[in-house]
Amino acid sequence: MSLPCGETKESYQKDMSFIQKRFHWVSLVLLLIVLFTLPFYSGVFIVGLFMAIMSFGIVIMGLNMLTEAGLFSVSHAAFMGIGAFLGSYLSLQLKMPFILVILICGLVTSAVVTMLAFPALRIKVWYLLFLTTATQFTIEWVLNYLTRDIPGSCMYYAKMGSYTIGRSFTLTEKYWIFLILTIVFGYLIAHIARTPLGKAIVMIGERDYAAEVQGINQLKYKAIAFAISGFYAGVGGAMWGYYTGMVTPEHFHYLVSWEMLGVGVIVGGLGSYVWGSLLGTTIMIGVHQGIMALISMYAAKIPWIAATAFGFTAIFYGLVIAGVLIGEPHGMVALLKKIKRFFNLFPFSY
Amino acid sequence: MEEVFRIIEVIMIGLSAGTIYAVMGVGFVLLYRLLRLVNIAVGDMVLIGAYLVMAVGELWLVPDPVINIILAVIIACGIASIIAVLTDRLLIRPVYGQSVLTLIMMTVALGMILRGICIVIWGTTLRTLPGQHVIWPPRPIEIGPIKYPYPYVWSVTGSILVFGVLLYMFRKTIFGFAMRALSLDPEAASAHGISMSKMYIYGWIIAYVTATLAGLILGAINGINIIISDLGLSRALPAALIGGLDSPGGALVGGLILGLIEHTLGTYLNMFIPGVREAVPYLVLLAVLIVKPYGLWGTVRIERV
Repeated sequence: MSLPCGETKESYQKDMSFIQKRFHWVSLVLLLIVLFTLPFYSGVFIVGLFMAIMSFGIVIMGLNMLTEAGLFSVSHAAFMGIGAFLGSYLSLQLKMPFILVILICGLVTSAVVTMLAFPALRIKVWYLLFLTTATQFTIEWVLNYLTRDIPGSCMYYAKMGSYTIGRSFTLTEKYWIFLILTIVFGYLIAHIARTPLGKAIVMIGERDYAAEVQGINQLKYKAIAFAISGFYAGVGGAMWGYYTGMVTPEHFHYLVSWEMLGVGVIVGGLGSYVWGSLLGTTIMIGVHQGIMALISMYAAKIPWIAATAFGFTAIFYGLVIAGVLIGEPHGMVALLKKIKRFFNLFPFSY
Repeated sequence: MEEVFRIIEVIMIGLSAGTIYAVMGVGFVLLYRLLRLVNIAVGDMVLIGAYLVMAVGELWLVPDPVINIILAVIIACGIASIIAVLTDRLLIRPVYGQSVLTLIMMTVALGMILRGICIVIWGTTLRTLPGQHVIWPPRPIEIGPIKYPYPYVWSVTGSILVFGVLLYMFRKTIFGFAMRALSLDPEAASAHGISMSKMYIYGWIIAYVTATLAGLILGAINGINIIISDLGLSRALPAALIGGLDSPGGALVGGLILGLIEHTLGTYLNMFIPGVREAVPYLVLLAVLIVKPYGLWGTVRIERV
């Protein structure tokens, strides 16, 4: 067995563990401390930004796993929309507590998305793109149709709270709950990746017929990949609804799906379920908010620029996706790994 | 009797609208045959084509509105060809031959860039083509009791022209023969001296020119706005898929079928479910994918391990 220089693992357990060195422990604890104390030293804007990143990040974790299974989907914004609108109905009309709403949204969206696995057995490669585009447009239309009598077609959320405490949460408490949920879901998907299930999903993505010859049931594992990703999409959608307080079908336009697949998964790093997805989401939402902030600064001087903010964002996303695909096809995570490998045993790497 | 005339009217309008979808579909299909690339940016190509025609038309190079718009279309097609060359050289060429996901994401990036450029330059307000009230009077043509909207006259003539030129090119000229050879077997064709890189550029130019012509008609009917890129995307995909993804003749039939279904079903179901007409193309796309994914004349994909 040969290992690159500087690798000192001796067992499979060590190789598969998330935390391998003391450096990892230290940085993880520091990161958690920084994240949990964030509301104490930063403003409402930054906390809101992190909440948006966390709710989109959960959706993109599921999308990342689905893409790794060879089932690229350009309809995840619509799946998120299912979760968000269902969550609004459950929380405001049926007055359910937060955690129940999130679980039900996840399960229902998962059931809807899993239905796609049956056509995906026969429909492959390019045709999958047609399938998911059609799904996106159809779900978008259904959402528009269901909310046609509501002015502005926006549906509201109840204030986030729990029945046991009997009061609604403040922004800081909301942020902590979102953070805990992100950590739990992130750990789950990272753990799935190292179980036999995760390996089978990757194998299906490489070559589904060859995987079937090896005894991996295509339908079963494709359905599982769709189900997991649908669950994450529903949970993320409901969380996003709780964050903004109201949802409209325009939030789940097909361009958002393109951004999620392009910026969230490809730029972030395909195959790196947690860090890649979170990095991609941070770029996606951070760039959008950054350009918005920059433009609102200059909007008073140049009125023409205010109406075209979305245009600049779209051009930037397009350029970033194209640049990453040409320059670093495995995403930002691969770039970080290269840097890490360079500094491992720094002056004498090899 | 009145009912019968309405039905004839709906069928005529549906078929005429179908010709626009067919023009969009044929550009899409040719690109797929040549490059093995599903171009999801087709809607944004339609959008930038429409805006280019509008921008050149607003310069009023010739005072007469009809000649002005024809001149504008020709110049806009020229500009679109330059964009086509840039697209091929800067975006698609560096990743050509890589995985399917990479190619898809490249067309997504292309779509975002084109759409962003349109929003930045022309804003998001609804525009109309210059001199539109002269060229396309808002009053429909009346053939007896049947009313037929004016822009469709242009769409039918335009699409007959486009399909005629393409048919002549692919059947009679040495250029079309080379392109067909390349789409059948790229390696053998390039071994016989057909330049792959030139042909790919011509493929993109055809795609952009057809998108520009479709954008002109869609813009004349709906007004030029960001919304016509959604229209282009949601109509070009089913039009190309119904006939089969690699059959240009199938795109014509697919477009006509789609237009017919959209207008008849849309008109008569609208009484029961308001607004169902926008959803019909997507439902058609879903139905085709589930029932007959390779379309009427498409090549069935055979997979070997």
